[in-house]
Amino acid sequence: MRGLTVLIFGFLLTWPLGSGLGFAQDAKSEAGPDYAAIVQATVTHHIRPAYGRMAKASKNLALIVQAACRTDDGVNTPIIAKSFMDLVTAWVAIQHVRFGPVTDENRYERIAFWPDPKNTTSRQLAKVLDKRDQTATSAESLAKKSIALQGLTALERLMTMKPAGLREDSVFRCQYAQAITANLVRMTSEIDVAWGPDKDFARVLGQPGPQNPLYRDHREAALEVVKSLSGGLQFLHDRKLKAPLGDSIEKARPKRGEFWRSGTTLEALDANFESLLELYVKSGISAYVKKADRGLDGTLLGSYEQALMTLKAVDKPFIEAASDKTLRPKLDYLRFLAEDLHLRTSGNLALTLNLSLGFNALDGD
Amino acid sequence: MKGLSRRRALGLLGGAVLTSANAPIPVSSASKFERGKRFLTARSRSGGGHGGAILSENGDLLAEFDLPARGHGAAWRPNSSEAVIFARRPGSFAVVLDVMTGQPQTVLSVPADRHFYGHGCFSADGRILFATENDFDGERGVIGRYDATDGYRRLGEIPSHGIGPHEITLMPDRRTLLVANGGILTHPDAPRMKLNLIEMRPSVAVIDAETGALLKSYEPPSELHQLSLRHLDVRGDGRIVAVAQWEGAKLEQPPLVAVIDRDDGLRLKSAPCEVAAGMRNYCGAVAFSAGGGRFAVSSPRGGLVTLWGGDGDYLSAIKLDDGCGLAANGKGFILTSGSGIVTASNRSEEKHHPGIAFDNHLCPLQA
Repeated sequence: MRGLTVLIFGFLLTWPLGSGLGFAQDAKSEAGPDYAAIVQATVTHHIRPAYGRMAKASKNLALIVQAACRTDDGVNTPIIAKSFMDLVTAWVAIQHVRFGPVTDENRYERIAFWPDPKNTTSRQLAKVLDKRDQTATSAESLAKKSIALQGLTALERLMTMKPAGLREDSVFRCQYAQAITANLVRMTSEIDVAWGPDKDFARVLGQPGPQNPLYRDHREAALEVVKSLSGGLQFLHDRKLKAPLGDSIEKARPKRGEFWRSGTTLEALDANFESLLELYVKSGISAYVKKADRGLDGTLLGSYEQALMTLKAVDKPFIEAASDKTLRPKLDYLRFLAEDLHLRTSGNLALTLNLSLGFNALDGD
Repeated sequence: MKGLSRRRALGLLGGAVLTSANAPIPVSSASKFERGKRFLTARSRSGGGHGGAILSENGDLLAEFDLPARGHGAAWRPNSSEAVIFARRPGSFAVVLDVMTGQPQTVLSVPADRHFYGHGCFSADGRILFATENDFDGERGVIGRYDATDGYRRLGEIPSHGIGPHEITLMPDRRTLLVANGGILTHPDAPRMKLNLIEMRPSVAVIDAETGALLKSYEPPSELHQLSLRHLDVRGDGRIVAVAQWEGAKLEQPPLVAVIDRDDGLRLKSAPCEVAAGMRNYCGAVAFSAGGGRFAVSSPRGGLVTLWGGDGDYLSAIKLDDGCGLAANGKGFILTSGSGIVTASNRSEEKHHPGIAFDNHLCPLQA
């Protein structure tokens, strides 16, 4: 790789060291909010704490899985469920960030492989279990295997499948589950560390300029934040609500929901709305919008709150609620709120911030 | 759009054309058309109206038309006044239109288990339309063949010999196809997921247009297997240029331009470091100049269009925010942007079309 790829460390080394946070201070842009402040607040009050929680939840889950594997129930023991849910909600709370260290080494897809329209995970998992594939039993060798076999989505299947009849199988599942959690610990710790103020990415994001490989100016870095918010809302609407709910109660396909096997779908939805609201507020975007367009800020805050309240009233698991006559309207309302939030965020909100989400810069065209 | 029946697509389209305020703008004079070159592009209007436009070589808007959803690439049918414009991936429609008026004529659609990738090209005699498509359940790229003389009936398909085929063009020998297999596995039910980044194997494939046989495949070296080659052009002597989008670590700066010759194979080219940073590891389109002595590469994420010598030596860069569409025009290039700008590579002329976002590609109409 070295010969053909220019690593930009030279550029990073010649960069002036900014403040302790890795952010250079510069003059405010004449139109729009203080973009540098938005980026800095997002990193400090949203991204770093979220990855910190995720690293911690991974370590906790690894310990619990280890403990569970000393019991007869192995990975099927219910005590894993709570720690699993903690990690799932920690992941969902930062899933909308699709830039920075999480995108290196395909970590994003390795942490959780979803949506998985062809159920690749189950197909590959069956083969691994069938031949008790030893390369799946250490974090190092697992990290080199298929993305689908590595993360939360593979672990969820192991935890929820019918208990193994043979002792050897149950032992193997435990070894594999421990490799998954060790792999998750490694990835989430790496991400957590890589977001540190003295690390390259904080400087790339916080010190834009003509030589910067990713961001020309603070406005472009702030655009990354708003794209995360907008993209997160779109993903929430399109994949997590619209696809599993279908056009009508008869057409519901709740198993298209996220983490339905472990019955964590609603908790994940809750964490999702909660974290997007957190990003909107803690980035300082809400405060700016409140000054520029009070009505818009009120509508957005109201919709997030409505969504969180609505979710609290859904008192059955998602896969039941999606076809339940009384609960279904609540989920439809939730979907409406997600769509509305997305449209307002990508439209009016971006305009208010004097940002354009770009037309030709979309992925992969 | 998935699973949209042909009839429904036609209905949508017809309705849109008849009722929309963006109905084709009548061509003021036929001579204006005949005098110079024209270009076909997908475009969107602010507020979300998707469609396409025909531009003059001076950047004037000659006609506009509506599409059921966002469009992408287009292909002119030789010896005719027809062109086809494709839906943006993973769309399932393509619209045939009359390039003299901008009036849509026919809608073609793919089978339910395929979707378009947004590009296509015609055989030299204009009889067959080739379109890059995704066999998403079979996890392979295919090239659909459509009979333009029979209502664009789908004749069948040939393999693209790779995953994620994107831009396709006819080689100067008029018998072989050139296709950029971006290498990324996607599925319409997981629109933002790239399903195989670890195993990516992008390639530029030379394929027998008749039999579908793979005649030659060019791949980046294995350490750069995440270099998704998606757009390409070929000049009269068979030299190919292909440009990439980097799927590897963001802080690396791999070469993004590949010059390919039959004898020398694939050679990777980089812009100088400070320019490379501005390309954001992402190229959106490429085209040779009329004589083939230069080529232009757009990098919409960095708002930069770079110019290169025919051998792949970097020459210069032009700033153009969200600039992507480009094509040879006169001695230079015509460029378009997502903010409604049409300009020339020497910046001699610049036209603004407020409220219009031009899409990624400009297709020359050599009628």
